[in-house]
Amino acid sequence: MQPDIEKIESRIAYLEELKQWVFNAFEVGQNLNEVFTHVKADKSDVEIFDEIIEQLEQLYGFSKMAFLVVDEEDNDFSLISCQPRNKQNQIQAEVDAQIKCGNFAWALSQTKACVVHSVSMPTTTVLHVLSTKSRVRGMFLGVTEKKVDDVNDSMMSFLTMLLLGIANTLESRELYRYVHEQNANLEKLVASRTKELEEARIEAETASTVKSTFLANMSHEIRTPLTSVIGYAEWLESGSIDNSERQEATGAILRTGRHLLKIINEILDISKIESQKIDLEIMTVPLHNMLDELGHLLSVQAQSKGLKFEVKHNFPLPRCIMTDPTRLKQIMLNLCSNAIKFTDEGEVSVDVAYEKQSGKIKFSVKDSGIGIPDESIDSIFESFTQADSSTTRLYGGTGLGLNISKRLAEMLGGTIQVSSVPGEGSCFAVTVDPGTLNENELAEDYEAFSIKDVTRAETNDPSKLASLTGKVLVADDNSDNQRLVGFYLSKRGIKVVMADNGQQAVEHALVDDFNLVLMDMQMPVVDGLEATELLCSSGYSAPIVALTANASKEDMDKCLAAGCVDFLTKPFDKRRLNQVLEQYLPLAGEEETEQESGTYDEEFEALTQKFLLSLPDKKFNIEIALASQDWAELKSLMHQLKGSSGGYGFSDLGSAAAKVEALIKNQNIDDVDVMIKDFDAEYQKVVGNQKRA
Amino acid sequence: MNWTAEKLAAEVSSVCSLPTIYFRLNELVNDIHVSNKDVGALISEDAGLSVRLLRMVNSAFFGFPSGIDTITRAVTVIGTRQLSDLVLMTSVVDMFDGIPNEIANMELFWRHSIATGVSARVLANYHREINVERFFVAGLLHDIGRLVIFQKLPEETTEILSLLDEKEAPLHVAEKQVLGFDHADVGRAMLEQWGLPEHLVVAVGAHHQPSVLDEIDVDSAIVHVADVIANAMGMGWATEVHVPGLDEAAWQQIGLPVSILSPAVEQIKRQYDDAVELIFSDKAVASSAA
Repeated sequence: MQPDIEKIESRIAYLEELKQWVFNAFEVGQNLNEVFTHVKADKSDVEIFDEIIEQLEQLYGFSKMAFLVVDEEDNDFSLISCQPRNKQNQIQAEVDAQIKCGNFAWALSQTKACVVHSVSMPTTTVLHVLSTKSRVRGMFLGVTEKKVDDVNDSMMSFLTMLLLGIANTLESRELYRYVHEQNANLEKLVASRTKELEEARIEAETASTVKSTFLANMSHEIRTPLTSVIGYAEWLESGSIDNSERQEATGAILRTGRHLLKIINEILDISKIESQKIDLEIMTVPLHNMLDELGHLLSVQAQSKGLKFEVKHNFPLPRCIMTDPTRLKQIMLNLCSNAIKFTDEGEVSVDVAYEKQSGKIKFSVKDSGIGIPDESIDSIFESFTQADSSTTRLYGGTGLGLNISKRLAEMLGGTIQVSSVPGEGSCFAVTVDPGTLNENELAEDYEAFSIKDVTRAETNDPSKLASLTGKVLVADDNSDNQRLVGFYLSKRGIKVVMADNGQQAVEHALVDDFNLVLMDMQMPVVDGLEATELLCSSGYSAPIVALTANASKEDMDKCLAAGCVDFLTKPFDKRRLNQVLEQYLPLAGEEETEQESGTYDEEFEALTQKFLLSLPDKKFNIEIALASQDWAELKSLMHQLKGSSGGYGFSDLGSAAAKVEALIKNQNIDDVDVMIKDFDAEYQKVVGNQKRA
Repeated sequence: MNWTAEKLAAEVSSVCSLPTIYFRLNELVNDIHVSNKDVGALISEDAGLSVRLLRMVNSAFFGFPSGIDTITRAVTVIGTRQLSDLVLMTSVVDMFDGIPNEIANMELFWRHSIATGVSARVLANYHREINVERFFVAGLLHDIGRLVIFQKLPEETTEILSLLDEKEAPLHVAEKQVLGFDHADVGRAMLEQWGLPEHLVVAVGAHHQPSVLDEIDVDSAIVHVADVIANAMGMGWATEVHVPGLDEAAWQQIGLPVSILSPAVEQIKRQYDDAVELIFSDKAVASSAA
């Protein structure tokens, strides 16, 4: 009996102990349950670990404890919490030792407590990984005085359960933080997107409003004068009007009608500019001529108001510039007539200067007029606005001029700038790109600047030109042009080979040795552009200069892109032609200079006669094309004449042909009839006089 | 005689039984009063078992960084619960010593079973299971039904095997055709009769078609996938012509990324060789010690 009682007593004692432990365990479980629900970030990770360690100490009696967590970036384990605090170094030493001997790694692979001998002390170390199913988050280390073999398995199982709970809590917190962050980011993103959208919307709305305002203003500006015209006309029709009133009425109708026409033209201009349908015609413009013309026009206007008008030159100035003369004139007229309109006394002047730094030509229109207040300076360039709406009534005008001028100036490679003092006057400065200028093209004084036909005077006298040597290939399908160019070239001692189209040109170029190729851009079979590209891509080395009657910037760019080194516009500027020849051909030595039989003038006259004789035939073809409404053919014929007439000295005929060509190109078939009449007139002049026009 | 899986199992288990040490161990382990020392003492009674245990614990199978030289220490490392599973494993291997080699090559059979056990254990480890040893046992025992069929029904076995050759069907399909039940059913019945834990019973019974279960539990899923892996790696032979198909749902249930397969296979290879050596050579040791 005795041993049984002993056994029973010991068992009871054990059970008591066990019961107590189990109760404690439940309490710990309950306490930690609260920790497990701390998903939000109000407590830091460290605080949570500290709490857990406290609970574990109570239950397991570990003398030392530590939690290590994995660093996301370098996969290193770092101590985040330990107990007692002042023993941290010792604890870290034990951790390092366990890592070194491999127990740490072993513990990582197990999902239970690993009970091992402590390395640095004669105690037992319990290692337990802290991990969820998805990944390892850290490690728990506990030191106990118990012997390794005495550590209870089931107690360790409870530890496993706790640590799993902790690991999951950590994961939840992390996920929560992540979601929170993502939300914050998303909100920021949405806010910035909304702002962007709002800005875009406002921009779009503003643009739309501007358009609507323009339309509204436009209809108003058209309706108002039209109403006036109709009103006056009705009055006339009614018959109840006497003679003086009749004068008044017709005058008003005329005035208003013209004003209306001006507005409509300007609106058309603006819409063309807006839809980018304006083709600039860049050509060599003698500056003196243009300024002269402007001067004549505007002095009349100025004088009628008792104002002085003057053009002031600031030398050096280039004699010629590359620009679109029509548009430039349009700008100048607009600015100058504005200046005159808004000035009641004093003078209006145009200051011309060449700005070396920017390489632009500046025309400054100065007046001593009413001026523009600062706040209005920007708005005057907007359509249908004048500085002050009352000025419209006083001074007239459409309110569109400056808008158009500004856009045109931009198209010509420059700007318009304004400065003004109300009551004293204003200055409108327009700059344009003059194209590439040669240094020695600048005139130093008025005399040099204003020499008319200076180019002809120079080059007409062949004895002034040095002889050149070499061979040039000329490709042009127009026989008139061939003869003309051939003439100029041979006059300078150059050998010429002709080609009628691009294909022939390529064939000649590849077989023969040429110093220079003059390539017409528009030819049948293979045109100049294609031929140039072909030659350049096969490594042809001689320079190719384009001959083109199309002087738009677009066409020029195409020529350069195809591989041309330069271009000459038709009708030929002889000076330019000679420049090109001198650039690419060497001077002839004494022995090579040949004297052509006959004088230059006689030969040129002979050529001109040939051209004149060919005209009736060309005219006939034009008539046929017109009658059969073959616009393509008509355009082509006009194009050819545009290029060749000027070369022989019939520039007006050439211009007239150019105008017809332009109309057909812009599909303005209705206006062709009118222009043909002009052409016919010029034609008659040429043929009738049999002289240079 | 109309056999059913249960009848067959009953026949066998009456003859073969698990060693007493297994049951004593289970009893001891469930008593919290007992310490690792006590468990160690029990095992030490069986010399053969002790030796095997120490060898196992020191092998790559366990991968423990330092040497373990006492049984008690081994018990601590392995854990008492897992220990009983290991004892079960060694007992089972001993049981089936007497099957003639013409019917089935025993070595190949055990190799496959070991491979499945090792694979299951590795997968369980990745899955962070707390008790990975029981997966080893489940894998080891999953095809036990086959042995029973071979041993008890040699005529039917020949029929099944020829059907296998002709139709190239999976073994369990051929078995169902001839017998009306398959080796998984028999295995389940056997384990049930031995009174082994339910999770083992279920896992063995469902290892070919885990989807048959209403809810695929992780044990069954892991054993199933382990079986496929073992077949695919050609470790031993499971009397199959082709590698059995993988049940997608089972893989999904395990929830591990496919990326673990590569390192897992490496581990399986390493542990397999060790395990085979342990079990086969230990058998020799055990029989000589007995």
